[in-house]
Amino acid sequence: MTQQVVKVAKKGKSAFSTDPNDFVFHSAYNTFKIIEEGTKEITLAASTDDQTFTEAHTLEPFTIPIVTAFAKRDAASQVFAPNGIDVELWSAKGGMSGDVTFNYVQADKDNIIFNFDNADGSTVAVTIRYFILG
Amino acid sequence: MSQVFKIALPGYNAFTDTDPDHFSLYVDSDDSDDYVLIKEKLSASVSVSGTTNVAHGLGYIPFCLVFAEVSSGVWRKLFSHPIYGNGCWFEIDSTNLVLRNTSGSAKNFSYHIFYDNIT
Repeated sequence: MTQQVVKVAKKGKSAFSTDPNDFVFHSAYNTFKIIEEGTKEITLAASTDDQTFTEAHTLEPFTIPIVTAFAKRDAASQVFAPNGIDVELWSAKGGMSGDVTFNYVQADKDNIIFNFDNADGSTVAVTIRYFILG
Repeated sequence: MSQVFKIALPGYNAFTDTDPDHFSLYVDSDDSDDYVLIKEKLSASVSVSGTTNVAHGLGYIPFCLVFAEVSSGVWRKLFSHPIYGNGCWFEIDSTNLVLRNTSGSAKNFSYHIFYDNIT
C-alpha cells in the first residue's frame, strides 16, 4: 500500500525530495506544537540567590511537560534564557556582567519551576514567558 | 498568482489574516519566509552516568532539546555547562548527541532530536 502523506516543500525545493530539511511541513514527521504558553510576573528579592517561583500547568494529571522559558527584566529590552545572565555590561576585556541570573527552568507533574539569583541590591521585577511543547 | 497553504488557528480567518502567529501552518509563495515547522526525528530517555553518546545519523548539527531528572519526577531543561552546578549538560555535533552527567550518581535524561539543521 502506498504511503499517503501531506507535505509542503520550501521555496526552491522539490516536494519529491527525501531530505526532511527541504520541507516546511511533512506529515510523516511529528512537528512540535506549543501546547500551553503564558507569562508570569515575579519580583526578585534584593541580593538573594536561589529564588524559586512556580506556575501550575494544566496538563493531564501525572504528565511532566517539555518546557522552555525566557525572562525579561521589566526595565530592560532584552530577554535572557535559563542557564544565562541578563547581560547589562559587556566589553572585550571585561567580559559580560549582569546582576540577574536565570539559573534554570524545570517541571514536575504539577508545576513549571523557575529559579533565579539576584545580585542587585534592590528588588528586580522580571517577566517570564514560558512554553510547554509537545 | 500566489500559491498558499494555510491552516488558521481557531478564531482567525485564514482568508484575511496575515499574521503567521495565527496559523498552525502558513505557506505563501509571495512571502519571503518559509515558516518551517520543526520536525522531530527521534526522542527517548536514557540513564546517564558519566558520558553517553547518542548517534543521530544526520551528518549535520541538528536542533535538539534535552532534559534531566534532577530529582524524582522533576525534569530540568539542559543547556551547555550548567552555571547552577547540577553537573548535567549536553553537547551535540554532526555525529552524536553527547549526554554528560558529572553529578556522581546516575540520572535519567530525556532528549528530542529534530531534523532541522542549525548550522
